Amino acid sequence: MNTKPDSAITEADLHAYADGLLAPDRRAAVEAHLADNPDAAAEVANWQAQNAALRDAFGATPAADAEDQALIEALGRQRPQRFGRLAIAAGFALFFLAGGGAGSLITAGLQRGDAIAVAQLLPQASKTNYLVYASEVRHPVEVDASQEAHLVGWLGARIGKTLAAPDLSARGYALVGGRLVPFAEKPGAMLMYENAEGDRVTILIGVNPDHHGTEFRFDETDGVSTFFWADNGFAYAMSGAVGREALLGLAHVVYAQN
Amino acid sequence: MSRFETDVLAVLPRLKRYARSLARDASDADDLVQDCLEKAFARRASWRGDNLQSWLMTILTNLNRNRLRKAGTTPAMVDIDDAQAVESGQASADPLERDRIVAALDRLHPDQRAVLMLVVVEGYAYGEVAEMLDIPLGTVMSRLSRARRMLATILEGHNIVAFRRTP
Repeated sequence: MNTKPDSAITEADLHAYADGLLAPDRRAAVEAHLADNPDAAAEVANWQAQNAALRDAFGATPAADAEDQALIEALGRQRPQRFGRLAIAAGFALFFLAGGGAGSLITAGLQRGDAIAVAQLLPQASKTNYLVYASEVRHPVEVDASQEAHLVGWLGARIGKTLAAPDLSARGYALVGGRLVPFAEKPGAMLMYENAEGDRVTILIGVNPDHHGTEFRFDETDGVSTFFWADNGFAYAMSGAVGREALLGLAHVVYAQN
Repeated sequence: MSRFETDVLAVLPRLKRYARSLARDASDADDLVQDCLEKAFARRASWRGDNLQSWLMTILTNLNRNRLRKAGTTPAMVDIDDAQAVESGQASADPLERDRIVAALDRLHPDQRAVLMLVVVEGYAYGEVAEMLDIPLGTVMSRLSRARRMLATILEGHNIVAFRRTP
């Protein structure tokens, strides 16, 4: 404490002064005290500088985004007794005891029906898929549209769904092909379409234990638009560097055909 | 969305900000927020209906303390990548200054850090912090004091002394 023994000013006053939490009359008393006590004044100035630096470093409030809303809605749908992370951890432990392989360990983490994780991962995963693969000139897909039957049979088997490539020709988009991609620690299917202008859009389809999907959600990051939705145990996301309305039109077609 | 969900969504940005100010890196902060929300939803029946933000911040503070206790008492050093991960998405005038202060914060005791952040960044009054953390006012003041002196010492140790242009 830098306060003089006979002074009524306490260290708490000095903190409150630095934090702007003092009443005006008390503030004047502290200022008079600081004028007589250079050491205390220097310390208070240092605290104020810390405050400024901390607010500068952390003060910006992150904006609420589509993921936040998806997360809250997913939490709101949970039953109160839903298995949490402890249960997942216990699941891992059981796998260890049972001698489960590393591969099955990883999927065990999400087998609890972690709809939240899927809802959070989906738009980001779809955007990344789009950014990585749609820009590829020579190898954007593993299996191209000339082998459509093979493509949908193969991808469908991997994700556990009878898959048909949606027909987007009415909106000017033709199938380029598709590839197997990782999604939420499981296999996912990606289909790519292209229009006459060379604009590409991608559809990501993965297993989603959440059956409650009733709407399209929209996310736009880094110039990439994404609509994503849940339907009958699967998660769908459609991404492209196209306008919201154009993409929504395509998403409606995809939804209608599934 | 229910009223509770709408209210949580409304305070979520500030909760995320608080988590970032406590956590070592962005992924720790995300985990904290996720854990906090899961707890809050599990206990929503026991929420008394007043000041949701303080309630959530209290839960998050306790989770952070428990987590650090579990992970070991000494906070690990931050590597450059992690420091930059926290930095992304947040506006700061001077990245060097920011890295320096973030590194210094990681050496504070988590209890002291929480009080400092609640007061300085979140703007709570001392009495409110005492109530939120369920500690006496004197403990709030001593944690604040220790945090500030520790920060000053650490930053001085870098041969850089924070300055401020006073009017």
